[in-house]
Amino acid sequence: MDRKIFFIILIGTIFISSLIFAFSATSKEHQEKGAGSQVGNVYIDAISQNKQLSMPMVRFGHDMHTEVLEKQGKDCQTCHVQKEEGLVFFYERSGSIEDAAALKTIYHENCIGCHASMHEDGEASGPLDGECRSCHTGVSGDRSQPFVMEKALHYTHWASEDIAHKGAEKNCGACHHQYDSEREVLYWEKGSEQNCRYCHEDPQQDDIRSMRGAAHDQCVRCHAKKRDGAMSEAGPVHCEGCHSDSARQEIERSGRKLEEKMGEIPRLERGQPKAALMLPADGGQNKEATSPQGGVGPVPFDHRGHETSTDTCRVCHHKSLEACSECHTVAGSEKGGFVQLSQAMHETQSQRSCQGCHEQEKKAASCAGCHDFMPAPDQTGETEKCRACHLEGDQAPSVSEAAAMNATNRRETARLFIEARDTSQELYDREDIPQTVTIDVLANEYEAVEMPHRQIIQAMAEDIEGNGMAGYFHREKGTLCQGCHHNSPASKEPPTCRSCHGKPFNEKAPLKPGLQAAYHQQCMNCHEAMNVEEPANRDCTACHEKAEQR
Amino acid sequence: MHRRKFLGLMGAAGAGSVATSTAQAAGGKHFEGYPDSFAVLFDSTECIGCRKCEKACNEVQNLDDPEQPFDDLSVLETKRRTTSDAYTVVNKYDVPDQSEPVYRKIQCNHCMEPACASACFVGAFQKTELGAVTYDPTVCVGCRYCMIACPFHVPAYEYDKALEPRIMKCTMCYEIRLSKGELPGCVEACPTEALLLGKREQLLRVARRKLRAYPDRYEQHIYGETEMGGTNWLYISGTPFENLDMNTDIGDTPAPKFTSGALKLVPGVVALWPLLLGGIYAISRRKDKIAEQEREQSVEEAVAETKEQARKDLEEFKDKAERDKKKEIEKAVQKAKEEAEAERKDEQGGSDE
Amino acid sequence: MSDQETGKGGSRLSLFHIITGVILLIGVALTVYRFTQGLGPATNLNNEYPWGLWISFDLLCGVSLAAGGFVTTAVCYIFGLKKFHIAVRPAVLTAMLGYLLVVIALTYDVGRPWRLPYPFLVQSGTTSVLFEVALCVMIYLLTLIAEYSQVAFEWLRMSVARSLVMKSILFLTVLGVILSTMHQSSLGALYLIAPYKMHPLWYSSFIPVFFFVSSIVAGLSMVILEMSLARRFMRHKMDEAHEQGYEDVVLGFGKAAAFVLAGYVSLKVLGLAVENDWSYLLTGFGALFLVELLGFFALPAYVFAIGARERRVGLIKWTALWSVLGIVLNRFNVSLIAYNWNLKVGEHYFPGWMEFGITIFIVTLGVVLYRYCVTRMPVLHEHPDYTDTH
Repeated sequence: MDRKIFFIILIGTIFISSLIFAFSATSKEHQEKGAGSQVGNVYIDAISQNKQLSMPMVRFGHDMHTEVLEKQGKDCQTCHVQKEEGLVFFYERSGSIEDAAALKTIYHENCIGCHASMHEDGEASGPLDGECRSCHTGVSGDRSQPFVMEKALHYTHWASEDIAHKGAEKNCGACHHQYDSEREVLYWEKGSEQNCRYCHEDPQQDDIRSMRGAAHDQCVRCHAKKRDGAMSEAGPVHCEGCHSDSARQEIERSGRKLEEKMGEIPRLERGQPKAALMLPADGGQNKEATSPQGGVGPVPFDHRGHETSTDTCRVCHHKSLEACSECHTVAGSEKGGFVQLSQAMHETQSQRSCQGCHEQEKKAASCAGCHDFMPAPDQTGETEKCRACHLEGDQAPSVSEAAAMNATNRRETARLFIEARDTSQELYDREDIPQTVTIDVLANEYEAVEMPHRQIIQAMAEDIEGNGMAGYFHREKGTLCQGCHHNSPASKEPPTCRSCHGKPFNEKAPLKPGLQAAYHQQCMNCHEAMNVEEPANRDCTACHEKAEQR
Repeated sequence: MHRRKFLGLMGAAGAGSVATSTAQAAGGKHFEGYPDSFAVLFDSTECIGCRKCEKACNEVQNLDDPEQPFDDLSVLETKRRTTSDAYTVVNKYDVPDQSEPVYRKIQCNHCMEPACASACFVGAFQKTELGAVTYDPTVCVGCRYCMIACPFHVPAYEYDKALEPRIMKCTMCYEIRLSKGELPGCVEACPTEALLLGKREQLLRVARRKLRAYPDRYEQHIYGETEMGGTNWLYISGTPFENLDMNTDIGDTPAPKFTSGALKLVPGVVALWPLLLGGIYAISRRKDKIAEQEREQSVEEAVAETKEQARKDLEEFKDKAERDKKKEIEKAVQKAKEEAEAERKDEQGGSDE
Repeated sequence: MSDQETGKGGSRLSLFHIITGVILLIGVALTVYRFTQGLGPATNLNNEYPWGLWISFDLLCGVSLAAGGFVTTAVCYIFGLKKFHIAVRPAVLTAMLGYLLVVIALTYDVGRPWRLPYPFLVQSGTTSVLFEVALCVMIYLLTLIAEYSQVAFEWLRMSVARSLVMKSILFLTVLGVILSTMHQSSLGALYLIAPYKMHPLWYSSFIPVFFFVSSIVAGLSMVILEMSLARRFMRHKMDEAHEQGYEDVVLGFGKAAAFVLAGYVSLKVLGLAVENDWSYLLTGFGALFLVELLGFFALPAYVFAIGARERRVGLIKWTALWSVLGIVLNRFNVSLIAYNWNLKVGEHYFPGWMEFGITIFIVTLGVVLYRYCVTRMPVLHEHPDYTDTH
């Protein structure tokens, strides 16, 4: 009978120790092993299009493999089929294949076959048959950056003399194309170039090649070709050449250098207007609306000016290069996702709407010092603000008048109004701005503050000089003053802080701090928002000396 | 059992259940707060971590001098908690997506239904009408259950005092300031008014206005509005509260509700157990008694049976004896006859010669 | 049955006397230190761990291990199982001493022990579970003293008092069960108020039930252990009835323990299911929980059953020790390990040597008092003049 006890204890011990081993084995450490490189990985999940994956995706170190193959004197065609237009960026096949079993065979036979032959030759090779999880590791620890075609980079491409396309003047057709679904061919139509992503999406939609596939087809293929032609400055062929952190930084850096050298990246001419008159009307649709189309006045939009402050057209033209009102109609349409025109223009939380983008700009360090204090815009009832953009008054055309104009006249009208805008930053005269302001009302534990008033204003003004948006929206001389002298009209002699701020914890005005906190909150928060390092918030004596003990 | 004993037990049960009904468990009701009670709103976006609040608290409450002076900001490099000579501490938190660190002032949160008050078995804590939760050192026994109960890890104990150790925690300066209509020390001292004293309802409205006016600056949540049933120290922050080491999983249930269920069962036990146990006792006694009776009965039966048997045996024996005797007599008579016959024959034979 | 053995410093100084004497002397010194210097210098308690070894072991374990009193008296007097009668007096003595020591340990742990009567005399915090614990423990201690007084009266030959106590035995037993139910479960309920500081595997709204059921197990096991130890060391004080009845007690209590432990394990599993805490089992704490539940509650249940069926007294004895260790582990887990399991800021806690010292002192005190009572009073034997102890 002692055997029974023995067995119980044995089973118990096995059970407990297996538990301990089990949970230690599932710890994160095991999963992090075999991390491999962090950039230049291709995640192979071709089968997932048609079949549910039973093993995790394969993390394939593409760059690592090209390195090894280059050392062996082998080139891209080791794995990629070469067709007339160039390499096909699928593995060992000339197009996409749907059959899951066939795909599996292609990968297993070719990959493992190559590894096996290397192994036979006594070289270090990749995983062999049976070492499934060495390849099927799934996604983890990847640090590849998505690629962005910046304005400067795009310029180097379309201005390059090496990317001629079939004798055309411009290089656009080398990359941009349209698709004829009847004849099933790609062709280039001048003047209809668009952003790739308007058609090519990630993940793949319908039958249109995914952005990932299309981009690599277009870019890498061409780079490979140019490389074969021993072109000196062909673009990168390896993953890390575009997708690593360092590559991205390098691209940005050279872009900035180019901009400095040229003053400004030349404008990409694609027939877009320099100035446009925006109307609250359905573009291209519903032209025969029966009820009269009224609206807050037309907006003269400086298209060219806005181009200088964005990197790609997609910042605003997020779905197509048409005018916003083509999809975002006044009442909303299915094409526009039922987002009405007013929303598309004014949504403050959006990155794409006019007002949303302006709100984003106000968060920049040069602006945030004042603008962080201003509460989020409330679109109800603040009709004064509309006038900043919408025309009104006798001199300006009304919506119906503008709608009746033809396109050329509208552009001309817009241009005139835009040129008439004053985007300069004007302040009061130097003598009218006090040099130093002595704040001694609360001097007690500390001495009075000698505030370098003029110096601060000048520094702020210099910071935003040349910023057209700031210049335009700061309409009056005293607008900048209102950053601190707030909740009062702009004036040459604005109210002092102590005119309104007094005793703290006033029940009737709980959101209004007392005078001491008013000073501290205003100064400290502005410094923080504008990344001013000195004076530091907690360095009391940087602003006011400690009073001597009496 | 005896009837009297049974009735006695019932009486005890009844008396017990009445007596223990004084355990007033806070079950089922939710305390909305005393009207017009004060609260403090802490805005972590305004706090610059200068520690002037700690200094003011120390002075106003006459606490011991700290090891490092209050203007030594290197102290903020380690995370601290309230101690027996610091009712409040300021901690610095490095937030992942912000270049500047964020600060939080830690002190008693003056809950609407405080765990410490519920846990204290001498009622040393009181939620005053002004909103502050106060502590009475004149009745405290030093059991430190309040320290276990507080979900915010606030109360500290004077372990180093042998004769008069006290629990130390922020009292919102109730005695010295609040009850006289003055500001608590920390609130008064803050240079940026990161601390705002006001009526709780009003502060909630102020906080909501701030959250609505500056949606990008603040996390859209007022910590303390409902946490642990609501507290009289409210927090708004520019970064998720988890980054300030504040427990956001803390739920809305007020602390007393966690134990009121268990306490509610007490009168039930006192009333039911006597019945249950008395019943078991009665049944087991009855079982014993019946077993006893059955035993006696079977003994009686056995005895009666034996007697009966004995009587029968005796009867048989007697009969047999009778029969035997008769047989004997018959035999004897027969024998006598035969002898007499034999004698007669002898006599007759002698006369023939 | 000689009454010649005296306590320490008596005519016969055995090893037992020397060791306990040393411990008691050290204990007295530590006591003086604790009460003159305060809790800080005498313990490692801090603001994150206000309750340390003294609460975990002396109070929580002490109270649960002293549950033998109510279990045995209930079994004997309420359920009427007379064959366990010989276990009643030792169990009541153990329980009474146990609770006495709990109260003594409490005076060490609490900041102002002279104020311990305050909740009853000065101001009551009736919303507190601790109030209920204190009240029940106080009344229960008196109950135990009353139950034990029967033995004392026999020793002092006070027949009238004795018969009075005898008449109220049933009342005292029922009262004892009621009070024990309440305070054993309430010791667990103390932790109900801190759900955000307790690990989900040990925190459950069923904690009171778990503590109560495990206290029954503790009581049964402790009676087995205590009878075995008494038989080993105090055999000369046992009369024939006690000697003969020992095996029945051990086997019977072992069987009962098997059932109660099985019930406890099912309750715990039910608790897990209700709270849906299964995922926690795959963590380090989960491993500890499983070791506690399966290794120290479920396995002993099975082994008790084997021992009971095959009438193996030795096996039951060791399993009783095993299950007592399980109870101790459970109380430590709840009060020191599951508590503050997610502590972010603040020190952790490990008991200081003086805390161990006082604990050992208190336990030794208990052993010494037990021995004193057993050698003089009719605990392990019947008093020659009072033979109607049924």
